[in-house]
Amino acid sequence: MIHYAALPLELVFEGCESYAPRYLRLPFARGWIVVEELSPGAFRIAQLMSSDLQDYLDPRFQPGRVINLVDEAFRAEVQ
Amino acid sequence: MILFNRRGRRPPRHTRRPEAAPLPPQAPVLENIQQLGQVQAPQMASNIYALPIIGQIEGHLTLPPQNKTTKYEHVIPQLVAVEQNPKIEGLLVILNTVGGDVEAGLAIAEMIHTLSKPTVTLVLGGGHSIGVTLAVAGDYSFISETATMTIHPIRLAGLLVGVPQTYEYLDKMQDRVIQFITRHSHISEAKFRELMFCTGQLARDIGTVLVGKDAVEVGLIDEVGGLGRAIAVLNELIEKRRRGEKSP
Repeated sequence: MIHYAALPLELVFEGCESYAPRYLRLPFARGWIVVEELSPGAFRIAQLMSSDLQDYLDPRFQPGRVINLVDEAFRAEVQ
Repeated sequence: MILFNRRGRRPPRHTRRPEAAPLPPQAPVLENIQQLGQVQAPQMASNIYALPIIGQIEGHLTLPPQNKTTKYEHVIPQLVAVEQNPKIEGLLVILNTVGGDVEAGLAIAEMIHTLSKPTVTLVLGGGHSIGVTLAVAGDYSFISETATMTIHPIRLAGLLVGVPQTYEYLDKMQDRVIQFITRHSHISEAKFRELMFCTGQLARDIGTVLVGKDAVEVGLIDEVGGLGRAIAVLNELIEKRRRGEKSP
């Protein structure tokens, strides 16, 4: 991989040895949502794998969004 | 949606409720303010899709969490969806990026360039390094007055062996970037290389920082302007496309 950025590379890659996120793959109607565990119950969307391209334009599936899996609202939302 | 536990099985009914009280579901507006620092605007149907590209362009490696990133595996299907969605007639790419993965940046730039719908790019704040390829990928490009673009050589990073071939490899990567930029903007290759290897501009590096109108003067960007002008030009291009004329 070649990284081409205006920021010093030490700054970009700082902490990359100790950064070991735990990912979970959650199934939903049209594919999977890969989430990163932040704390029990709280997850950050890392990647969307959907068979419906329009899902990628949906802000609810935007990577970076923090979701709470015990939150019934999110379950109902993606049904 | 059915959520499974880590072993892939649905937990028995009596354990489905976690012991800790679940956080109360928040109103979407409140959640938006907390997570994204923004409130939900009133919904109105727009025929323009705005694609913000911010922070680092993340490619094959997940960057540590201090980086704000734009993930190419999400942006690429987004662009395919924009191409396919009949309600979307134009794309506005808003850039404020420090650069990132060469392959991912070029992939997104090629996708934006080959999109059949009119595309306008707007550099706000900064469009550095690989961000330059994204800035020139659209049909028409804007830079805001105070925005900057840094042009500098690709530096050595990652698992590369220090042999003469390494230099050739980096040179090839750099050529891919330069070729893309010179093909899709009005800057000549000689001028771009001159800016790239300029000394005396950056404190700890070689290269050039172009501020607003400098980027237009060297032919990299089409016009100095902001959001209003960018949308106006995009609407013009959409009108042209509706009439069956080709965009520039």
